[in-house]
Amino acid sequence: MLSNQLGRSLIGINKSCLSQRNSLRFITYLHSGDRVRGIKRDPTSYMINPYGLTYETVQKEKGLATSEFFSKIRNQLPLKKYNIAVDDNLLLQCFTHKSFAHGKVPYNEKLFIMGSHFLKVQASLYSIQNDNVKDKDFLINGLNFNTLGSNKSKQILSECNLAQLMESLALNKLIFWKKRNVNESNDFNGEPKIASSVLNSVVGAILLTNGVEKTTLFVTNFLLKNKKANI
Amino acid sequence: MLKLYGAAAPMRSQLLKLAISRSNVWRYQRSIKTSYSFYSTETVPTTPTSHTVSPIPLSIGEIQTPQLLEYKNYYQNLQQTLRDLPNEVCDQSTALVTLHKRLGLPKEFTTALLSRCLTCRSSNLPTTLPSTQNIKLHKKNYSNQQRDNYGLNIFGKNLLTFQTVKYLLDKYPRLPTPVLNVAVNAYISDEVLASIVKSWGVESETQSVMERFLRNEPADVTLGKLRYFNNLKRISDGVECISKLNFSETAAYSLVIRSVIATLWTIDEKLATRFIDDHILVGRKLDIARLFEFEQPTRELARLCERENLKRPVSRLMAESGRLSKSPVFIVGVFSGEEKLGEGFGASLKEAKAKAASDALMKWYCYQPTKDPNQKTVIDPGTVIV
Repeated sequence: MLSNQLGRSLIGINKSCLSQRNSLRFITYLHSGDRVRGIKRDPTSYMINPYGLTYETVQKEKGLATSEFFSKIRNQLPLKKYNIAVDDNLLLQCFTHKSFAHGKVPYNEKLFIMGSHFLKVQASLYSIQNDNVKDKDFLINGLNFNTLGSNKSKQILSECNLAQLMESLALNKLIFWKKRNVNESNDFNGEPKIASSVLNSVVGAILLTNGVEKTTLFVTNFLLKNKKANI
Repeated sequence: MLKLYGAAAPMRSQLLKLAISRSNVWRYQRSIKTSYSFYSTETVPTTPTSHTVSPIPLSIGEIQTPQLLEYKNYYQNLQQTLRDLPNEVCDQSTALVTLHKRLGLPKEFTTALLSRCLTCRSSNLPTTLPSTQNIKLHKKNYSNQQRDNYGLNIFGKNLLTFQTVKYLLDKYPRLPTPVLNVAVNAYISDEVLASIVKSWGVESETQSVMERFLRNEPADVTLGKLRYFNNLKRISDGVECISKLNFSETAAYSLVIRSVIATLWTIDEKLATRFIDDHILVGRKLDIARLFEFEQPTRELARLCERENLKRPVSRLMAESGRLSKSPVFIVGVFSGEEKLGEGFGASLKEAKAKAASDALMKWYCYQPTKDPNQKTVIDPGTVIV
């Protein structure tokens, strides 16, 4: 009866002990497998990304130089090349989407907002600076604003292109997120959007921790001049 | 397409007026002649540029009335002035010069650029006079006018949104996303920006080209006004012309401030940032706390404490008065171990408890970092999902 009241299952407790409060022991039952309403789920069953990477293993690797997860990210996004220092905690937050583990662990939503707005400015800037126009009569201080709003300029650093870049860097398998419907494809579940949001949030994280100059350099050289990101 | 509203009687009279004016145009068309000569009625000279405007086509030609030719000449002159925005003409516009002074813009920001900020793409005048030909205006009837604020607006919007989001997140790094979006809107929504531009004294062009012609109005007058509609027809009460090229006055006004920001940025980045701070962000107080509304504050607080590895929150009654009266007051504090997280009062224990939990959550979400440069940047782990 007590177990019902508390909503927990008691294992290995003699009924005669229930009256003696001091000897009462609680063991929480963690359920894995099919979901049952009202029962706590085993964290190992949901702290795992769609490609089978567990959050726990990555968490244990934090701060270790031998970490495969962090070293791969640092090599593929050449952070060292641009002299950018981002700690492991922040990097893991960038690679965690809001859908993962019901928001129990730090996720990248706010970093994404910051990064995406910064990228929009940089993309439009790139677009107005690098447009070859014959008629220089309409330029304002050498910048061609009439190119903005065209399909070509909209494509620069678009969600689709950033997702392709993440895939080519083989970083999309390192993202922690949860599928809306496990039986459907990754595209149906919005993987491109999640992959691009990770790249946006990396930019946001760099912006918050390393300043505007280093971020601009990173965005210009690694993203805007990258043919895969800027088709 | 005609959108009709208001009482039926004035609407009918407006339609009648339109029909009469249309019949007058037809009467003119019957007597138009293909061969005509221009004679200038220019009140303001425009500098000749490489972009010459092709003469307005006369399809059903045969009439030649001096008034009609004068009108055509005026129209063509206006079109060319708007397309080239010559500095000499812009400098003569009192509205432009006054606005320039009022905003304290630098010298590099010429009046011609300011006039470009006031020109919306939708104000593009068609190359064919719609009053001389009874055809529906198609996209091809519009010249490719380049000196408008279309691109400037896009760039200005990107800059402005980034600056506003940065300003808010620097101040309140833990704001939940829906609250952040509302706060951003409160600073830079179309309505807010339009009210700022109106406070600068910018007027919109509401007179039709024909009315301006009849008053013999110089072209520089319209250069100092916000042009967002091509003003070929008169805007009369009760009858409004709606097309894809036309949009609301509020949206048009908001384009101006964004374009000004973008143009300032081309001169100097710092000028644009300072302009945004002066006119939009600083000095306009927004009460962030009023934007919050928690549905399940106690539950959310419990989740937050669990995530942040704090002890479970416990609510304790701290003071009470008049429990048995008709207006009791309870003061409840919510504690995590020894630490007090928040406090609330209410007419019932439940209400006080919920208010205490909301107070604790507000203190978490509305946290403001110190201005000490040694403090590490606060990175938000995300809003609690209940």
